[in-house]
Amino acid sequence: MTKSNKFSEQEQALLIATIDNLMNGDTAAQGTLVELTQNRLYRFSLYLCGNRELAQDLCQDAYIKVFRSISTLKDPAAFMGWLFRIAKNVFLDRCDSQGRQQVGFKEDLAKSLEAELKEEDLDLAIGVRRVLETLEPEDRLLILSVDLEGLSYSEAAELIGVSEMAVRSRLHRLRDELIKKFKK
Amino acid sequence: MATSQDDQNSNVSAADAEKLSQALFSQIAELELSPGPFLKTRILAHQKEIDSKKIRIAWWKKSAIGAFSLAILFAFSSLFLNFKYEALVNQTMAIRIDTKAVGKDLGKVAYVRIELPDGVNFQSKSYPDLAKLNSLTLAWNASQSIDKIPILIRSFQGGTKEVNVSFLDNNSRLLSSEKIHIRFKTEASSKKGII
Repeated sequence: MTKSNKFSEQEQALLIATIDNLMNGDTAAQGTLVELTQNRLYRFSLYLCGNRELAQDLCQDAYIKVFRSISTLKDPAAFMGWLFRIAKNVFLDRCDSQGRQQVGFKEDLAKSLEAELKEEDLDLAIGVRRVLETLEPEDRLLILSVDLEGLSYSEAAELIGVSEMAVRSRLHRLRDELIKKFKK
Repeated sequence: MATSQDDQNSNVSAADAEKLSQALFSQIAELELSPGPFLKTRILAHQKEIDSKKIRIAWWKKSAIGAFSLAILFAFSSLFLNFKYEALVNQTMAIRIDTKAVGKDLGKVAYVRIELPDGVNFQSKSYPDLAKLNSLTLAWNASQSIDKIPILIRSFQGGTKEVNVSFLDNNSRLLSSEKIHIRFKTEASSKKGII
């Protein structure tokens, strides 16, 4: 499914129909939902935690929570923001239980990605990952949700649990920091 | 090593920083990064496991509730179904209908109707035709000083049987009723102690 940070109109319509089916108890829709959204959730999780295995675990736990609480989703059009919020909670729960230093970023970055990426893309991905590694988990979450996954400032504010103004100000600082570090 | 002067010089406006950061991440978003072919299978298998666990728990809960209800039912039935009579199948037995159970309306009783379940017949040497009837209505004189009516019956089947007795007034209105439970044992089961 989609690689970019936005769904096409057709994909968005299919996603909403799938969520409707899931809300009506159609368990076959679970597979379709995973197929439609797994690439974006995996990419988000991978850059968030920096570890391939852990990213897959986060995805699994997030989808299980989604299946369990899909009936509480108010607006199917806002599904991706909700999914990222669930993944964030799963990630922060792990951070709390295992200690932030121990969660993710343990494995060799190159090793983790070289199996999946072309050689020319590897430097870019590793560079971004190295910069993200230096950020606090909440900051990483913020910049990934807005600049990688295309969430609006208000969606990001809801995701992080701060005001939209705070999101704008934190993002400005983070983007500045990220660009400087990446240039280095 | 960048100096603080360099940092100041390299500071960009919020709009430029946004553009640069988004450009960087849009390149990242275009990279072929996939969770592998088995993530979906793994998630669905895990979900299936959770569902079957839920079904098992629900089944155990229902079974436990069912068993508990049965136990309660059994306790109540043993409490209220007090068997006054036990008899052998194919043997004539006498039951006595106690008119005192009617209480203060005893004076109004004009008829007593006795209804037998399937497989149970009345027995009478003087009136052998009674054996063909399922129910019998006796005229009752309230001034009689009899407080128990003897009835002879015989069952051709084993198990618990229920005899219904109704006390009616002159207009055949029900004044009171009584159920008499009788256990009929086959000879074999009575020897084994099975009812």
